[in-house]
Amino acid sequence: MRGKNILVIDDERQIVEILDNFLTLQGFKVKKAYDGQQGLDILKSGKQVDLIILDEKMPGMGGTVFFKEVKKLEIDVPVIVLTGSVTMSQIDHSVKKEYKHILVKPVRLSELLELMNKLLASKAKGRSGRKAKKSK
Amino acid sequence: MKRKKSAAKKKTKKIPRGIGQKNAKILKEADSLLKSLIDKEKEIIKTEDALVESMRRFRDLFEQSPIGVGINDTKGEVLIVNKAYLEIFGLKSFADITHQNLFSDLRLPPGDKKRIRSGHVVQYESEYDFNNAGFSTSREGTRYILFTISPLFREKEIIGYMVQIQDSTERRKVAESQRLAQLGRLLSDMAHEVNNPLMIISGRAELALLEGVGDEKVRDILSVILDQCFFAKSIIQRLLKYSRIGKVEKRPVDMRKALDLIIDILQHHFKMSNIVLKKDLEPDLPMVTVNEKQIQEVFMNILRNSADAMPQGGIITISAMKEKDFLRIDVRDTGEGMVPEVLERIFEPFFTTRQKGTGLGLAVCHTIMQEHSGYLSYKSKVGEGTTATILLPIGYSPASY
Repeated sequence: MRGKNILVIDDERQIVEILDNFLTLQGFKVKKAYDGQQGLDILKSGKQVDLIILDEKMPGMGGTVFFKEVKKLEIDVPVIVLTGSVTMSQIDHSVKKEYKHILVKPVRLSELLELMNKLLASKAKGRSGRKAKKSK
Repeated sequence: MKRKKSAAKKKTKKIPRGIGQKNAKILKEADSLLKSLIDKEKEIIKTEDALVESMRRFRDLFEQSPIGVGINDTKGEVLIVNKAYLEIFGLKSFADITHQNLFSDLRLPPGDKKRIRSGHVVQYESEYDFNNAGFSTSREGTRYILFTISPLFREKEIIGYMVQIQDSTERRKVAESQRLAQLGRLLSDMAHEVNNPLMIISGRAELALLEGVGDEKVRDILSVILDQCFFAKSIIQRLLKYSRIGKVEKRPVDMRKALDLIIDILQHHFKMSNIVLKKDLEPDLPMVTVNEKQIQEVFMNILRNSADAMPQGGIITISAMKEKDFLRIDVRDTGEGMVPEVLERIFEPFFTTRQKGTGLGLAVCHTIMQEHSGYLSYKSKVGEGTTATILLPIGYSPASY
């Protein structure tokens, strides 16, 4: 999965920096954003993004709104949501079901990497599969 | 003659008029007297009616009050009680409590006897286990009763005592769930705030380890930092669970299947620790309405505790049977057991005997069982083992959230 483009969105600069260092070390290319709007701008600019790591709670455009906006763009990018709360009580119910991949902070970087590799691998595989489904 | 006539005429005319006037006056007086007598009579009847009505009202107030009320004499002997009073204690009639004395039978806190006798109002709450009440009662289970005892005065002298009782169990439950909901919000907010810095600490430590920073000593320290971050995370997760119990869906569950699943999950772990698991389940176990995940959590905790109590291995026996309106499940181990001082505190949040324990496992279990209107209790003997007993109400179907 080396060379894949990862978009990291978190208002906590320290966390973005840690993820940047870690993912770069693992051979990924990292794009950084500090709120939902910045993340959306990167996506809209047409730059290649293979996976998004999204913080749930951010000032300005938070994770929930960002997620909805991404859906509107109709791009097929897996999203890993990082949340501070186990219960996700503050998360909008309509989006709750859509969040398929949630990790509760603090996250072990090794655990995050494992999930990322899994998603990127299944995305590579799933493309042809999904197309086949559609043609049915 | 003319004069006479006229005089006579005058006279005859005058006299009757005078008498008439007097009579009329008397008649009028008599009439008004009669009228006022009738009025007074009416008033008396009215007053009597009002009195009867007022007595009725007071009787209704006394008899139909949802608050149990009893009147006791100065010695504390009970004189009269209302319907609610009998109902709250689960008594059939007044004859059941003619022996009851305020000062010896109503669990008056020590010291309050004096206060009541000196004219103070006293309030206290007492837990009644009606299954072992010590008197004949139609009530079951544990209930909380709130007592308010006030002296009755007549011209500054105490002529008796009024005992008011209320079943405060539901109120306590509501207060408890409100408290937990509040705690849940607080914890949820706190989790957001604390987990970010925890992520920064753990992330930095993990990254440094990956980058191969420092010598072995430094790396050991980094590992400890990393581990402790995740330990802190597990405490927060458990606390959140503890505070958010109750807002879940409950469904009818076959506990035989549920238990099999739990045993399956733990089987491997038990084999490794030299623990033999025995099952003794009655063939026709009734269904119970529960949240399966939560009940699973309860059994996981109980079974893990049992395993931890048997570091050299041993036997865990799970037995299940129908007992009155409950499904009873016992988990018995042959472990080291607990001393009474420990047994007393096992449900306290943050109480733990383990180095790595959060002290929240059984606190969570206890709350889950409360939410299911069930019971969890422990019996233990040092050197012999521990038995956890779970009672789940059969056919209990509360409003699902």
